[in-house]
Amino acid sequence: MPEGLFGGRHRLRRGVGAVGALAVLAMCSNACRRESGETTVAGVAAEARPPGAPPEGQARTSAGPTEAPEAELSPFDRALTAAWGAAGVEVAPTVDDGEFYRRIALDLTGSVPSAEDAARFIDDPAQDKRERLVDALLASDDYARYWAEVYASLLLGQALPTQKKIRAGMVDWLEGQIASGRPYDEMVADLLTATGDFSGGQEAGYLLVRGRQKQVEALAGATARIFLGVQIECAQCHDHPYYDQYKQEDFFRFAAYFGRTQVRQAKKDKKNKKDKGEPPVITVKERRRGEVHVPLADGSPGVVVEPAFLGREVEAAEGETRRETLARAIRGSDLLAKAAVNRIWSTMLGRGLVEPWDDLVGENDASHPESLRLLAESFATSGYDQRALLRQIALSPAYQRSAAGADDQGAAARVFARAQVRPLSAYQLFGSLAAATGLGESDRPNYRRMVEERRERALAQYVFTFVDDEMAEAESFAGNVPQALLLLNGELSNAGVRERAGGTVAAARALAEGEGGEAAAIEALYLSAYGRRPDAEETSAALEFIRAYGGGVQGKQGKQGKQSKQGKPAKKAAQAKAYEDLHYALLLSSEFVTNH
Amino acid sequence: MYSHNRRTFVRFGLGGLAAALMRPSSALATAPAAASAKAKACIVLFMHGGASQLDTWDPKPGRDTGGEFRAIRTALPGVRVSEHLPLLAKRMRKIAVLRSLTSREGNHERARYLMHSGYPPQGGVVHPSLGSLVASSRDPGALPGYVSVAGPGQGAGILGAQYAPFVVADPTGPVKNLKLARGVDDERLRSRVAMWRRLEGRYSARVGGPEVEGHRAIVEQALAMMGSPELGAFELDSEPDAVRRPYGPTPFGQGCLLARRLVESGVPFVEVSLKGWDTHENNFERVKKLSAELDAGMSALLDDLEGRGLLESTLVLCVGDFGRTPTINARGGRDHFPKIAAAALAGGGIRGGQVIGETDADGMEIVERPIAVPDLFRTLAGLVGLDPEETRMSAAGRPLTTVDGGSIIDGLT
Repeated sequence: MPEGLFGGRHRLRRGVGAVGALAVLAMCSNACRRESGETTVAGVAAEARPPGAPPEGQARTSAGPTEAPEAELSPFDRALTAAWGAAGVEVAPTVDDGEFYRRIALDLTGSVPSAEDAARFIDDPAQDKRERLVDALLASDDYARYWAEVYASLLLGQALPTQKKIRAGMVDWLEGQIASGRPYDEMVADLLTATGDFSGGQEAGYLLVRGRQKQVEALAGATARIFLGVQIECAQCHDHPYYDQYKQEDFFRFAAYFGRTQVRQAKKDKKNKKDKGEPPVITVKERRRGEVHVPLADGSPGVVVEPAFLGREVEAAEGETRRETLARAIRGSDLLAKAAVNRIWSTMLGRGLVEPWDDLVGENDASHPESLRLLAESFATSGYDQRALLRQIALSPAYQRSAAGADDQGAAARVFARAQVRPLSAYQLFGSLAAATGLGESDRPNYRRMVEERRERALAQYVFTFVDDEMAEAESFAGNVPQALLLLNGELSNAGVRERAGGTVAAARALAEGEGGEAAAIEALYLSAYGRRPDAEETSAALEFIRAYGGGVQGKQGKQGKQSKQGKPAKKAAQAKAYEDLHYALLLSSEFVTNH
Repeated sequence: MYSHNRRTFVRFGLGGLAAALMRPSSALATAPAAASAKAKACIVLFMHGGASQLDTWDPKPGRDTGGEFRAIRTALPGVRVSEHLPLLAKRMRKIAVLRSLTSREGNHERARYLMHSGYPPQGGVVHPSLGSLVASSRDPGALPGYVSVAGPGQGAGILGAQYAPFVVADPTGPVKNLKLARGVDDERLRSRVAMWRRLEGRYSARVGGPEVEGHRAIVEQALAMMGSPELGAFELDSEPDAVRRPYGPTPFGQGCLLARRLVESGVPFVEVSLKGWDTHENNFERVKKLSAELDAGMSALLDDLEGRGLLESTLVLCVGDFGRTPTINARGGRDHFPKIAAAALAGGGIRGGQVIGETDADGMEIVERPIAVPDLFRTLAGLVGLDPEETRMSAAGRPLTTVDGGSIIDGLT
């Protein structure tokens, strides 16, 4: 292990932490009704710290020049880092530049950086290069595209195969919204209040997919969970099993906001063959009438209920539809920002400030840690600016921890004092394979489309679609044997490493012939897979590996003497194989297939 | 944590490849749990979406809540099941039916989590599924210890990715990506893998943690599978038609056949999903069709296991997300009803030919012997040779027992 990069971890002093920990326990037993329901409580302990005491655990290493001085830390960062001391964990050092770039590129754009970009960033002496990098990534097309995919999965779940076009339309709409920096609360309102004809589906896809087969209940449950972090659908069949405050009636009163909504997808004209390629059209109407009943135990429809927002009356404004009232109530709720920041934090760091991200228990619940409250406040104050939120998270001390040394059973990662190692999502893995091998680097649109199609085909094998009303978002892809088989024997990795013009191996081999020799070639392969340079030990291991194939620059004497008698083409072929195999091994490794 | 799995010493070469790989090393004694288990293997037939208990195992003929179906006699005097389970009705002497399984989880995801792990979902810790627990308690073989057919199954949580289900989406298709890619021979693969192992060793020392060890283990498992003779278990075509046909031509039926073949090849836990039970509308037409699939698949499985002398050592469990409402909604459907569900068990250690638990005339309430999910899991754990009180550390540093509370279902075993 290279000293300086990953050595020198700092153990924090305990002390003030004890009070914080007790406070945390007390809150848990008050608020979490679930059996030993555990909440990530980073930041709750902040108030237990003597006023003015500097947050501890600002572990510094040579690799972390761009972290803000303590004085400049936001209240959110202070709350979070204070919890490190309280938890008494070892704080991992600041992540070094190469790993930071890889991590933030995966989180903001869904793919690893190119070798050239990584090298340029590492070598950039500027103090503010991390800020500039984050800004550049947030301004890129890839950012809008990737987050549109992330949001489409959230909003639609794993859409059915028959709804591929609806999903594509939703991705298009989201991409436009995200690229233009549309405030999150306005986006949510659009999704909920969509009315009229929507060619291509666009934002109306949410109402169609979540409320399909006229299931007002499913749409209501999804809306409360996704936008408010409240799993009120548990109260559909009976009074809520865990939230005392929600009765069955509250669920149906929430559902009543959608009671007059009519969503239709235009039937295709089967006689007209031209119609096949046409985008789907979704029509949403708000009817004058339509009521929601609380079903009675004997099966009769039961009493009609008026809409209410999580047990609270919200008066409808003049001329407002029920969905418009709901959208207004949601925008007025602090849960909107809390659920959003908790979800985005969870997407970026592997776990939410409250776990799971979509179970915030109840409005104004005391179990919300201070850190969640502060981050939500700053998100709301920014005008629900997602770029600003992502920027704040990316540059926070918590996000910039190293992942090294995860041997404490996850204690440090739980309070975000160490980065959590996470498997790449299918989208990230395929995008990264394409980037690292150079398969995705073509300017020719046809070639890119081919790569994209191959990616989609491979994805489709592993993503399960569920025919349930709740539409689970799970994909059965990350970290299992079929994935390992795909990496070992699949087309993408094997074709990807094969030497070809424009590919990574060809570029590395050209470097091997040049001034830098084999070491430069090895460095290029490391940069493309890991976004960092190899250390001396890694370089010598790789050199040994490559030379064993024979035919190399050094392969003229001793053991390799035999091969040197072979003709030049044989040498070349052996060398190509050597670099292909090294590239392959790197792409199969944990360091490549995880975000860390 | 990851010491020397014998797969680390893998030798390749398509001839002796698998044999060299998979011969159990003498250094590894058979896990004690597996040795004492009544059920060496377990097959779960998972009714994905939540099957209507009233239209399958607990019919209420003549009541409004009973719906359209008739009830038929079974091999067990006085016990009736739905008319659409005629084959299973004849085999009731092998089967124990639970009619009073109860939980509080009415959301699919949460309920499935509970039914796979015995725990309700809780923030901060991911509980291992029963399949992953069983897989981790047995010596590793060429095939994964937990195979999930036609459904996603559930993950291994704190046990690590190496015990996650091996998902086979289509039981009749070939397992994908088992053959070496174009231009790659054994020697090249060996060389690639040797370099990969060096990289993993280094990264494990530098970063480590469960995700890293898990990835290493699943790649080793994939390597062990490639070229192993046990892969023949996936070739359903090698079964004679007379064996294949009774299972039914459906993915579920053929999945049941695959389950039997996998168990024969040493896989200790197989789950086969039958999807489509979320019958919020048009319940009766859909349940009739699904029942036919279940009836054929499960009956053929029980017969086939018995004919091969495997039923005594193979536990078969049929269960789903939750039950469905006795009341029939305006769309002719039944909604989620976690309060009452039914399950059926047979084989490995189960005393067949009985019904445990009773619901009232309309199926609205349990009137006798409510069985909570932890009760079921405590009973299952004993049968498959798991210690229900064994404690594992969660990533949160909290000790977790195999089963949380519950008591063994009296008389079931």
